[in-house]
Amino acid sequence: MMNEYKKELGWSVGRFVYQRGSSAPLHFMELQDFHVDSAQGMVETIVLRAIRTRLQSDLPAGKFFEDTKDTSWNHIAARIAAKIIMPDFQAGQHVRIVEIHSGIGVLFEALKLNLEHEGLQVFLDHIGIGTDEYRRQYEYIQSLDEHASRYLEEAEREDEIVRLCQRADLVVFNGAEALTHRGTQSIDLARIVAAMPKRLLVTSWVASNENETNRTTIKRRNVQLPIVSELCQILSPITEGTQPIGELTDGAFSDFFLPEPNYEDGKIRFAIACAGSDVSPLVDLRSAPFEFKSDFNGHL
Amino acid sequence: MFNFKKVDPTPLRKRGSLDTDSASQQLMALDIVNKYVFTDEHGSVFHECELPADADIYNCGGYADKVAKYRDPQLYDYLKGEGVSEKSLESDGFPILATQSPKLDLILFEMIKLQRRQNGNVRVSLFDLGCTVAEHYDLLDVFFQTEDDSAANVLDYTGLDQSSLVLIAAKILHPGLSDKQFSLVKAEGSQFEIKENQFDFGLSVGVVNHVVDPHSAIRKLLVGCRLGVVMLLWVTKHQKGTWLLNHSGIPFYFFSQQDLCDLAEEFGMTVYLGEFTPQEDNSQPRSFAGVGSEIMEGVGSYQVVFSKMAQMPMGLHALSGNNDE
Repeated sequence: MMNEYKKELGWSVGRFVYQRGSSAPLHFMELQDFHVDSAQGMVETIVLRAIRTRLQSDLPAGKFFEDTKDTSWNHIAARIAAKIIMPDFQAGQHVRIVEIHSGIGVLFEALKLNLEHEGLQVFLDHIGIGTDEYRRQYEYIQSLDEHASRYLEEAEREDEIVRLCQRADLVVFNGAEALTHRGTQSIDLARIVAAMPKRLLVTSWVASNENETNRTTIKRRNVQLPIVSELCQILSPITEGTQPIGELTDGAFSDFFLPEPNYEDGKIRFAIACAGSDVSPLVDLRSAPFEFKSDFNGHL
Repeated sequence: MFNFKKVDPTPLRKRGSLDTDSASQQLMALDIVNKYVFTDEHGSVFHECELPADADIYNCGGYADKVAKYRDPQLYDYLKGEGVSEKSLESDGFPILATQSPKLDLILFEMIKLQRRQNGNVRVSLFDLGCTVAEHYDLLDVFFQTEDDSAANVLDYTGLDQSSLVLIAAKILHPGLSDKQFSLVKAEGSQFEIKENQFDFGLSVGVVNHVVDPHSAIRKLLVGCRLGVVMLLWVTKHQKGTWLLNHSGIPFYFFSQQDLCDLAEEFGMTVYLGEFTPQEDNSQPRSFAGVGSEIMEGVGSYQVVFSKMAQMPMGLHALSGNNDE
């Protein structure tokens, strides 16, 4: 069923000042694009690095990290990525990671923290792939660390990206992150699956049913979310004979999507799916009920 | 499907009902929330999405982004080719250079060069009050690199800020520098220790107005920096300085030009005024709550330089004061 609902909406983003107890704003100061789009990712990366380098772990903004570490796709996915890497690699080895839609590399930074926390001293070779909007930030912030990194714009030749995915020890398709990004993303999951990577980790928002997949984000972007069975189907070339395993959570950032009043259910979940790895206790996504909420949150 | 139209959620201010001379002007408790708000055709809230409340996150993220922009190798190539000048900062290709902050860095850069030319290229100490992530250090470094030098080679930099987050970010963004080359201090912007003539130069961009005691902050800068202080200051054209409340509910003092002349005289310095940017042309024109047009008229930010140097670069206009050293 097509979503035929139409509505005119006014929008604004910024700092609202209210007289205490009142709902009418006294004052409004618009936040600039760089505040809304870049600041959070930059700060997440900096806080993670501060924790890693033991500079300080009790930052005031550390509360922000504490508040989001169990609900952010980057933090949960990083913990699962560490679980994928740990059984197969030993200290001193290089781990080649390709991350599609990496942004400035929050997941990468969280992965470093998780591996260091577990005492696995591997050398990460990370290739972030995405729109040109994040190249400068990624290259600068990641160049200050000892792990190898480079950024590739997704407009690069497709065969180059496919080749990188085939050679990588782990490919991360950070679809949930992509929805928050500026610029138009052209790489879809099916193209990455077709490269048959050895190990694949996917983050994605999923809709509860096939009639309610069209959604609009707070950034006024229309998106089509998959349902769980579609996600499993896309992964099936890699998971054939095994289980696509993963995690469904009632994402804390569901406010990121505008409500759809004409949808009967309208619920969305945040899914992390693994293919090519057996990470217990992730569940078999094919049989996971949409309402299912496991206790597992990726903590090691 | 949604059709979107950007709206101003506080038309009250436009009607002037929050003017400072109106009856609504009174002390009140405020709630401040950062968020996306979507309203329907009747103005009712359709959807909200809250963003982090911590102002530090926006400051740190925004300024760290600025460092990444300054460190763009293409920006270096551009400045190397064009030379560092007022003209080259007005670049369509690098809009970040055409903002207020780089112009102040340019004034400071020229003052440092002048000082070094006259004193055998000695190292220069710089105190940056309200340094955030030390982004000024980065642009100065790029400026110096275009002349085959570097900030590490020229500057003993000390940055002060009250935010742990931005100081940690400053440390992370500037690895490999010794404590002499790059040190950081955590303190409120008017409640810090500084010795007489401890530094050669001072810098403070848009900070002094909203510290606990703005006059004390400037006095400390002028005591502690022996050659000069470069600032971006919010100034009113009215005869007396005035206190307002900014968007974060923080008291904010607008200096009068007389305030600046009095300070220059007190410290035997000359005060120079550079470019004036009216408040409505600032990047955050709605920074102040509950302020009538009669107050905001003539309010804006000035490039302000207090100096004891006999010569000044860039033809800055002396407002008043001594210039005999």
